[in-house]
Amino acid sequence: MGFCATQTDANAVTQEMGVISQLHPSRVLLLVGDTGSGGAELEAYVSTQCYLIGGGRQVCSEHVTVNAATGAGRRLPSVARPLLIGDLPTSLWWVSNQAPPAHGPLFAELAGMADHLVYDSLGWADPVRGVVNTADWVLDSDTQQIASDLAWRRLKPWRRLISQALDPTVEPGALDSIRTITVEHGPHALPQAWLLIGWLACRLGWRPLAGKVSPGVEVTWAFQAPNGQVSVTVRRLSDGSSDLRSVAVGWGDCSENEHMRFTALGGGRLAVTDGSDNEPSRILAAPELPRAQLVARQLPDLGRDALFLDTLDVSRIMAKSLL
Amino acid sequence: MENAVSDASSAPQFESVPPKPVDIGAIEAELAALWGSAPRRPTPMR
Repeated sequence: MGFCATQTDANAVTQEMGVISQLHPSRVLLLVGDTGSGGAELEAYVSTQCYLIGGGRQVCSEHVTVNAATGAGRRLPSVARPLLIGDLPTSLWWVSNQAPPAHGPLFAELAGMADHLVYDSLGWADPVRGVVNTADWVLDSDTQQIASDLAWRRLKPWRRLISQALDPTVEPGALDSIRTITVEHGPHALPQAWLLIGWLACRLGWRPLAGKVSPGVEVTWAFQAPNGQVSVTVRRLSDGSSDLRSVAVGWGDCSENEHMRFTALGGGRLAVTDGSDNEPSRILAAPELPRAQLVARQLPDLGRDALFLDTLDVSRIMAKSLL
Repeated sequence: MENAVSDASSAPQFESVPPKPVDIGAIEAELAALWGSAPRRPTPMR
């Protein structure tokens, strides 16, 4: 089941659903919350999509699209409910520039029908409230529903590279004595930067102390680590891709040789630069997967990801400090 | 018949059907009609 807040979102998602259903044969319900039209309140379309998948086999999926005119979105749950297949898992992919809980009862009802929520915090118009409200829903909901943020999945290669480069066998003592972290991100990627910091904090036992918004586009936090304080700076770049751009880590006395920089080079490559060197010491191929591929890979993960939940909890603390 | 994999070793047995407007109360019936018009009904993957 996919929910698109606008017709513009739906135009992209319609194509992406075709890619996803090739990998996960399914009944696809695409609900469009506000087409912006003043026509009929609800319009429905049915279609089938069939693909040859090799080995002489063919996959077919059926697609249902329900468009709601402005003001009719609240009727979507009652249309969707009887179309769900009871003995198959239902995933809800939420596509909007607002966090899912911002859609109020419409979100609550649709999420209540699903076993799994997939959303993308990249691009949220109000990242602070978006993170707080989504984390409240994911972490405090009585239903213990499974939720996945595509921004977290996009961090996988970053997490792998940072883990490997700062591993105690490679840089003894670095992880235990980190003093500074500086994260740079493109527009609308603040929640992803928080997830990265939250991940480091969870894995290294840091406790958030306080946050401060500097004039301009910079936010700083202090964390209490087991061996001292860590200063974290998150800086928004004004242009370029909406994604994480670089992470600089300083440890020990932060002299020239005791820092490392991880940078997105573009073209699906991440680089590690040691100390004062200008040339990367290592480059990791990390192809940027299209969104449909990210969703397709996320769908089979139907367990609660404990690390993501812990990370989200730290993200919430950081976001709350800015409210 | 929400999803299906079929043996199409000789030739594709099912063709994609483009979006067709349907009455909001008759979605399930219209889906069944789409499959019903296929040469052979696909095997559901449950």
